[in-house]
Amino acid sequence: MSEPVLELRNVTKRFGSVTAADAITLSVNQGEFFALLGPSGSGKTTMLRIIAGLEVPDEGGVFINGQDVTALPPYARGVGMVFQNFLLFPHKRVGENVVFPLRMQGASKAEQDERLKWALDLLRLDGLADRYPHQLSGGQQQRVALARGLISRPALLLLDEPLANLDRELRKEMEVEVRRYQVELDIPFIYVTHNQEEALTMSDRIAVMNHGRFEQVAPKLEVYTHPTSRFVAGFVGHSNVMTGTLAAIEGGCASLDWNGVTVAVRTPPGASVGDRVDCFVKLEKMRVVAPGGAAQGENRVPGTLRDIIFKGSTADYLVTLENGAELMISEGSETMGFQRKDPLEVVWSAEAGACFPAGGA
Amino acid sequence: MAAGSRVAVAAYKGGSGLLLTLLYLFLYAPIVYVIYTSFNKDLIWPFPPDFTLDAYFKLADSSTYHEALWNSVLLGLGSAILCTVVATMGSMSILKYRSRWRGLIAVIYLCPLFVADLLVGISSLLFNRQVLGLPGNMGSAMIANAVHGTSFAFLIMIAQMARYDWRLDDAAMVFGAKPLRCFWEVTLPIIWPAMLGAFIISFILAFNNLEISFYNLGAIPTLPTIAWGSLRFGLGAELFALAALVNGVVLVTFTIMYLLMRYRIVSFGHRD
Amino acid sequence: MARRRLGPEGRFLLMALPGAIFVVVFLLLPILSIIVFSFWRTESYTLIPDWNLDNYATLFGTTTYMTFLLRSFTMAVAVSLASLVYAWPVAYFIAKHGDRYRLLLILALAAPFFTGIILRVTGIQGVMGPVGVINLGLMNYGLQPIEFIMYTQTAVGIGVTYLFIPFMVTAVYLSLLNFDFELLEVAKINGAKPWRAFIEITWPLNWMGTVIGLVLVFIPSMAESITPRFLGGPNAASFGQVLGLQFGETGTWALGSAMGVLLFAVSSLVILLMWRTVNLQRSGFTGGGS
Ligand SMILES: Nc1ncnc2c1ncn2[C@@H]1O[C@H](COP(=O)(O)OP(=O)(O)OP(=O)(O)O)[C@@H](O)[C@H]1O
Ligand SMILES: [Mg+2]
Repeated sequence: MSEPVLELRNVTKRFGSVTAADAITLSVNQGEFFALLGPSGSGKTTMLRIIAGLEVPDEGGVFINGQDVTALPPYARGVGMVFQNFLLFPHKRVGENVVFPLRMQGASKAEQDERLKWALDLLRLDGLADRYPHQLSGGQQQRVALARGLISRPALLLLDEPLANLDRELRKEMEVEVRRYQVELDIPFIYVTHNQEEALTMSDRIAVMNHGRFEQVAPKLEVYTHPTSRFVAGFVGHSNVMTGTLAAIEGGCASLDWNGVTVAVRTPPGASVGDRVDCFVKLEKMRVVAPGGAAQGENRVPGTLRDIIFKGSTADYLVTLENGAELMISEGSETMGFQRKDPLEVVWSAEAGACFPAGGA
Repeated sequence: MAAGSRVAVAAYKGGSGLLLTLLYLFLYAPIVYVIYTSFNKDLIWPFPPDFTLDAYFKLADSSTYHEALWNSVLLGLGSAILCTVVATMGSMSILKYRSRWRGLIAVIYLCPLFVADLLVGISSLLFNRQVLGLPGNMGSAMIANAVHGTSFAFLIMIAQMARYDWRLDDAAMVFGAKPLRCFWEVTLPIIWPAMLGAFIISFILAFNNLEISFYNLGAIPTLPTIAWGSLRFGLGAELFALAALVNGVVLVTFTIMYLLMRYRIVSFGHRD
Repeated sequence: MARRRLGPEGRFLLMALPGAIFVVVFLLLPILSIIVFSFWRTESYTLIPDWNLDNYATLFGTTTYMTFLLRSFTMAVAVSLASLVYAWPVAYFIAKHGDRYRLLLILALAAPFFTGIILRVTGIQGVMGPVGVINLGLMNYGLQPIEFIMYTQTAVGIGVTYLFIPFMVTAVYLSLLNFDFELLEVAKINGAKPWRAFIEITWPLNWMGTVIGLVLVFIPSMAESITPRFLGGPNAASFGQVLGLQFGETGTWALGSAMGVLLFAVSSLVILLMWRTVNLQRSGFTGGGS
């Protein structure tokens, strides 16, 4: 296998008492779309700034194509970047903004023109080259920022929440577009976002970040289906959380006493009887059926339908259980003929649950 | 009620506009008087007018005044360049970097504001003479004036650059601009009106400074020191003529600036 | 390649230090030196390092010096307040309605400085003097000439205000330049009347600019020596005027230094008192840095 394009080895950065990057190790390969997902303040931007050279790590090294660039200033690293609020130069026209990286590299005028045409074509910006940034719409500004990041064919492109300022419609559209550019250019994209849908839609691999640390780095499906930490399970996707005590363990299977309801779960590694655990089950991994109705799953819990929240292609069923707890179940939106207050059963398999030692109180 | 408040707003706007107009009248009336007098035979008692261009002919012949004017311009330019460079570096560093020294450095840059011209003048005189053993000359006057002007320039630049987004510099650097290139390509084109303002103000302050220059120039004449010196014999007509000419230049400059702004050729940093 | 890059702290100092050193060497050291000289003595135009307190004894023991000091102080306070009251609406007008001509409007306030102080004071005499333009005009229409303007403390006050009011306007204007006028809309939507919004929002958020303006006017007004000489009567001599004398006619530099130190001390005290009213957090100071 070829050398990774980007490698971080044990990178640490502290701001006073805050550790914004805590011994981060990572490699990103050619052509990979890598998403960095995490809540606000988790250190995503700091990570990108370290890769770009705008921030010098306190410890550890940054390698691009095998070369140690830790001590190199940003202008010597040859990476492209798309900033959160675009940061287009307000005094330069669109064309001048886009060719800026080429000019800094001392490219010939002919090359500049040719590449500019290529970039404007790729991003469907033809005809806008003579406008100033403030004369563009949000989506257009976003594409100009992308064009500027891509024009010099950088070794890798860093994107810091590039779609955060766009409205929902435009964002959906741009998600597809950005993915298309990435496939076309075949360079690694490192894409920062706190929007999990965005990360799941676009990326190949996801790193989930929290408090400056990587909680999990894995292909997106795996992050979604097999979270390896309590934080990831809670942060990625929408889950019901059941907190209870392990009542019995039989090999790979265990039973959880969840406020009087017994739930079958996979045995969490290293757990023993009497431990308190949180069990996360994604909304769409549960089914609602009429009492006695057919459905696959070791768990079958009776309850009463409280409400249905229509979401378009899906609908969320709120079911109150006999122990007073409430579950939310995502089903298709076509009507199943249930009314409020109808008795129901919620069914799911033990495999669907991800259990971790209980956090907090 | 809405109509009433609209009237109040209009009245307020008109009233403060009037105050501004009166302020200009107040500030320029004595200058207009000086210009008027420069065309009169009698400088002390120019009423009723008795027009003549004598003052201007005298001025054309007088090498002392030419020298004084040249020295004033030199002093102004030298001091203004020093001020602008120092203040640009200072204000940029303070706005751009979070350093624990930021507060202290800002106070140092502002210090000169808190010391009157007269004190700057006499203290640099004594310091240069007693401690450094230097006589007064153009250099020492330039420096003394620049120290004072620096904090004005600094203040102006800080106020005008407070909203500059320094992440633009980050962007430029990532795309391959070295620090100086980055300043030239991105920072300068955006902050030049602030620098121009700082330059003009520090030039004006040094050009006609009396109290600092007087004590630090030694025997070198500038416009204000020559005026001070000629007090004993009554102000020379040449002074009036020179002042009129300088104001003429200012008027022409302002008119050009006005036209540039009026027809939106140069915006001087203003954003609609 | 292994070269260590300068951190932000290093870059900050690299850019900020030259100017700071410049100010320290050419402003603070001279001030320090006159503090030293104020404890020396002058003999036939030379300073003699003979440590004593005589200069201060003379200064505090001579009633006239103290009168001059008090007079200059009162003058400076009055001028600062007058400038404050006048400058605010004017600065507000320029900031709010100056549109794209704002820079020009402000420069027009600075441009009078192109004319030397002596000529300008002469001009003031010509306009406001007993037989100046104003009084000539009044008499021309058979009215009483205004007596009080010339050769009184009031005349000096008007002259000093004339000189330094542009500083005040500029300081308040620069502050308003960074003031977010939309905050006033918010206040109004929440039910504040315009004057209330001014008191609650505009005034406190621009207090630092106002303080800087007051200082900019107070300091030179307190030291002013030219205007009283021309516009004041026989009883108008200012502290700055006698201070200047020590370095001119009489050549008593040590005493002059002591006077300078006293002037500096009084000014610093006033600045300190003013500065204590500034709360950086509440003045909306958001000087930046990433
Ligand atoms: N220059 C700095 N000085 C001090 N602290 C900083 C600095 N930059 C970042 N931090 C701190 O480091 C932590 C990580 O910040 P960072 O900007 O990387 O978060 P983020 O994940 O990008 O958040 P967001 O999603 O809100 O953009 C935060 O606690 C932040 O306060
Ligand atoms: Mg961020």
